[in-house]
Amino acid sequence: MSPDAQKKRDRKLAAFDAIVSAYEGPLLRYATRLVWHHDAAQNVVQDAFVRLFQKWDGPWEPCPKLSAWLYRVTHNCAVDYLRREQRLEWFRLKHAEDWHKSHIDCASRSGDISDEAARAAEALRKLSLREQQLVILKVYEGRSYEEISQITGLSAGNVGFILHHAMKKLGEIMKKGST
Amino acid sequence: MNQPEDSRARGKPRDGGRADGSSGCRTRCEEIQPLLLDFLTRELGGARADVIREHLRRCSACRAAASEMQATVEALRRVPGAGEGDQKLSEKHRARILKSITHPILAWMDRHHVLVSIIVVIVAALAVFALLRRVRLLKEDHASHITVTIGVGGETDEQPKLDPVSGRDSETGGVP
Repeated sequence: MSPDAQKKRDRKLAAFDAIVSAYEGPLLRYATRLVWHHDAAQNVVQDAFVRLFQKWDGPWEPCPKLSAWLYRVTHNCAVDYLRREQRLEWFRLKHAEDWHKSHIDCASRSGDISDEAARAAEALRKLSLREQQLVILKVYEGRSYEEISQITGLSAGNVGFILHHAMKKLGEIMKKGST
Repeated sequence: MNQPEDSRARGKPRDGGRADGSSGCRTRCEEIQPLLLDFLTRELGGARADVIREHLRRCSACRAAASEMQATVEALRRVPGAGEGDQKLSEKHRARILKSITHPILAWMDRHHVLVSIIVVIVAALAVFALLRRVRLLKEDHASHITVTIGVGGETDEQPKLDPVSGRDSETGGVP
């Protein structure tokens, strides 16, 4: 490799490292909520960053476009990961059970979480992946419809429509759970 | 555009709504309720938000729907676990990323170690099979060298087929 190419590669690696540091936290939170398992989320985010290095052709600095791209790739990696496990529903529910046991029940016992929050977590698991994705992006990540639209490729109107129905569904499931 | 909506919203209860403002503006409520999440998450611009705020002030059904949605959002926000804390990639995963971008083939083999192991086993089995076959062929070659008989004076190796009962040549019927 020529010195110029080596320098260019080093610069790219340094920029990549900065991007990893900037986005690893939010992406891990997002992936953990999607696959319901901490280790699986680490694998998903790792795959997303590898794809970033291989395929990203935009500017190598944190920006909204890069952020949207990373969220989209992380979602795709999460879906790939779940499909790779083949027993999609079984795997998701199993890990959700593990997560539920380790977080909700412990928190519930120690009084850190209300029954309502436990029901909300349970209800969230019952939504489709697309609905979960939108709820996570809106409620936990605080993204605007425009940003969610960029991440998911859906129109902003469609995002609002799906979110509205997802929230109604969540409310109904939580109501059923409380009775 | 918002002004007529606003005035229509204000006029509704007078036109046909009940005193408590709970219904009577069903069409209006059907328009408002899909926007409640947008309103609660501050997605709506000032004028549209004002229209909804005004409607909620008068309509108890939509107020109940809004507070229910607000409760759902708050319950979701109270769910612990993935949402909190400053999460970081583990050292192991960071090392894997670095390996993937500097040695992609090795990283691929590492990631797909089950597939690689299966391929290695199949290749090894084929190699052993080919080796054994080669050894057997060599042995067969060796054995055929021993059994070769060389005819003398134009005689061939072919023996006449004899009839098992008469002992005569079955092809010629004993005639030379």
